[in-house]
Amino acid sequence: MIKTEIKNDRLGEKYTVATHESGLKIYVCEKPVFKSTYAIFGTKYGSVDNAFKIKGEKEYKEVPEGIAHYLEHKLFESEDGDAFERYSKTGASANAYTTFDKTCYLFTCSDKFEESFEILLDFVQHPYFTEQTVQKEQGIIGQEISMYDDSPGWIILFNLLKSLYHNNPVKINIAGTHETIAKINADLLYECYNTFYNLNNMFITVAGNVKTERVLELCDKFLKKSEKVEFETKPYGEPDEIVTDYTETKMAVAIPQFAMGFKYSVEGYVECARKVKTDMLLQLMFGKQSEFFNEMIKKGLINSRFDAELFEGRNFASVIFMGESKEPKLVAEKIRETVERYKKDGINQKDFSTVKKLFYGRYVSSFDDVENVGDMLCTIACSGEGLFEEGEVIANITASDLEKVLREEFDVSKCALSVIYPKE
Amino acid sequence: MENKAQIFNIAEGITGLYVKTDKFKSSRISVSFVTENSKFNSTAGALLSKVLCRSCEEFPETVEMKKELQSLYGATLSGSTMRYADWLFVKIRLSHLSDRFALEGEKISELAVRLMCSAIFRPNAKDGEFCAEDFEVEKRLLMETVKSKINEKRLYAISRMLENMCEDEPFGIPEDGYLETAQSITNRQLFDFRKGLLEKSPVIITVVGGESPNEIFNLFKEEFEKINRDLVDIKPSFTPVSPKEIKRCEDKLPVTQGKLVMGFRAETSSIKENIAPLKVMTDILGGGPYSKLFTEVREKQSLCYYCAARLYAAKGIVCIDSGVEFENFEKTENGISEQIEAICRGEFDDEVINASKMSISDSLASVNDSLLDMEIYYLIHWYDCDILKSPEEWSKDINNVTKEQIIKAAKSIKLDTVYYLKGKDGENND
Repeated sequence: MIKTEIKNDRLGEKYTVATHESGLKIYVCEKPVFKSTYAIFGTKYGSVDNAFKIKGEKEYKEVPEGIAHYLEHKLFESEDGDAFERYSKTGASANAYTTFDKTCYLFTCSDKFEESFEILLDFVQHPYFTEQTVQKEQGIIGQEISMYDDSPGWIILFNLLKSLYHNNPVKINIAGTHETIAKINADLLYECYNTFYNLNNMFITVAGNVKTERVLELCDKFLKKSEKVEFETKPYGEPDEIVTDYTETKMAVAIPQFAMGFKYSVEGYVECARKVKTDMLLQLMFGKQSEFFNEMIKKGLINSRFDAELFEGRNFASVIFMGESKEPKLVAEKIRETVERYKKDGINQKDFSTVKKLFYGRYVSSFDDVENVGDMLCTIACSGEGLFEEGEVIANITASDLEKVLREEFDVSKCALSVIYPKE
Repeated sequence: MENKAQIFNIAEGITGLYVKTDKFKSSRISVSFVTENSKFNSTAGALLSKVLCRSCEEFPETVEMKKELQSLYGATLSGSTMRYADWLFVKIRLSHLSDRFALEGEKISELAVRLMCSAIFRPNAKDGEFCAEDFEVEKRLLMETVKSKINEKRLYAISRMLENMCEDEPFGIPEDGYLETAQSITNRQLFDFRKGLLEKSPVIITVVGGESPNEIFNLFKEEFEKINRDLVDIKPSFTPVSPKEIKRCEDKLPVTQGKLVMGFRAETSSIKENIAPLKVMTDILGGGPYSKLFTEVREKQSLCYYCAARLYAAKGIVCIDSGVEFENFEKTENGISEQIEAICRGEFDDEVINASKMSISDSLASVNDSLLDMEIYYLIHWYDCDILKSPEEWSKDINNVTKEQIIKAAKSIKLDTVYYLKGKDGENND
């Protein structure tokens, strides 16, 4: 296996990237003073991959919404039982998640790492779907969908995404709907599995109390030989413009909820530098030390659940503000005004220096948590960037870098607001 | 020695807990004031913990206080309350980057801890009241926090069950208190509440991190020496409660999915001796994917996406919660009861016992990998047990639990309360 070790002496951290013969990349960050280990076996397949074809095929196939998530549930089962039963003998805490652009199978453990790692690599590479087992999951996933239907945070996010995106499948609910999951069968699951769960499209990350060499040996031992599957996802053409600038609905909430988004243009993933600059801008303009935040709090227009972040993944990115307010439209107006004011006045150098220190401190502290390191490795496994790149970006960033991003990215004409009002 | 916890007697009623660890790039300090839980105290505690972190005499403007923390490489100062049995911890917490990462040689630890002391001991206050703006802003924010609990339906349902189950006990009081209490509390009352905590409460100062704690503890000792303390000692105690009849209660909201929450009481005279068996029993019942509720109620009967059990150890309460369709309430309740009865009959094998023990032990082993987990773990263990039992020692207790003890623990729990979160007739979320 070709492998490279990357070190950061200032942080006292290092990690290794290796490439398996199948094309799968393996990322290992040793943290020997910790007791726990966190491993992820992931595929770059998520809810956005709803129409695809194998290279050479004529037509694109469209699959039911929610199928990537359904597949994640079913993969734990095998002819002999399920993966959770196997994990119960090692003590590992196992789980999985499907998001817009990837599906990850993971575990944490403080002991018996090798046994748990073998289970992980085994069950993810051995699908077993029958009509009976697929049917059984309808009830469980149906309940999960119902649970999300009652979650204002989930609903408002997708309402906003539908306002921002015409065709981008990021607006599709990850779990699907009761109607769409009813169309899922074993054949479709196998088709999706065989296309996307190809090692060339997958990655492994391990952080914690492990030895890199041993992890790579286990990968060599348990990863199957596989030929690369070349596939294409259906192009959908997403215009820069948004769909609508406002939507609203009603739910059982105490205070109106709002989500406001500024649509970014992006191909592939947002690179690290652009991400850091956006995050810093958001902190400067809307963070808890900002004039905006404190004025809005004093006036009773927002509360401590106000948040702003760059929501991004494969082929999508938007700056999203979320919060609660009795006057969401007024808050949205104030957000736009703040953006325009910063564009006009520029960034205060002293405030910028303070926020830079904040980001550096947060970045360094992020290595204190094994799961956090594992998640950071997962992010770079998809983006192709380096683990220490963020630190370099923070060190070299200037206020005028931020001003440039502000001018280019925060376009008030590509901005939508979604509101949930209380149901009486 | 790494991860070894030590007790320091700082002054009467003021204890320091220090966990030495060099593996992190940051440190954590918390100051916990212990008081009786009550409607007023829970609300006042939640409000006070926020007001104190907003500003202080040295930084009377909240913006300047926040910028000062940011300039200390993102040090965080936050306040919260924690309910434990019938008592309340009012906590002020600080986390900060270790000095060795300061880019310009700043003494982050010293500056951050001094700021924490300013917040606690020299608040932005005058003539027996906090700064009016701070008080009014945080009061509104607290009220909105309490109102917004309804948004997280699962947690809301659990909280409502406990409120009903423990309506005559402090444990039933929600951690952030009540809306009407927050509405009526005055600035002066809040200031007096703070005075009461400083003068009367047992205080536990927890330091988790590599730096020596002596300077930190001395700093707090000097601060407390300026206060006339008249300690009201509070020690946890367990009062067994025997449910006489099953309480059934419900709320109706326009929701798509119903919530079923069941509360059980362990009928035992001494909770401390029975915690390990209760813990393992609760885990076998509804802890992980090997558990009875997961395998039988979720997987085999496909009744729900989640059906889990948790133990509130200090109260001997087992809580089981599930998200189910309205028409399946009775079926699920029966399904859950059947699994408890199955455990009482001994219908579980060594495999599931070992799975549970391994899972609990694995979690305990990872406590020392998190500053926050260590802080809470040692605080609770010292407060409740007066000794610093390490996660490894606690793990031994878990592994020594026998099948007979698990069966006995299952037989000891009696259903007390069943709570339903139902849909509003004809309404749901579209």
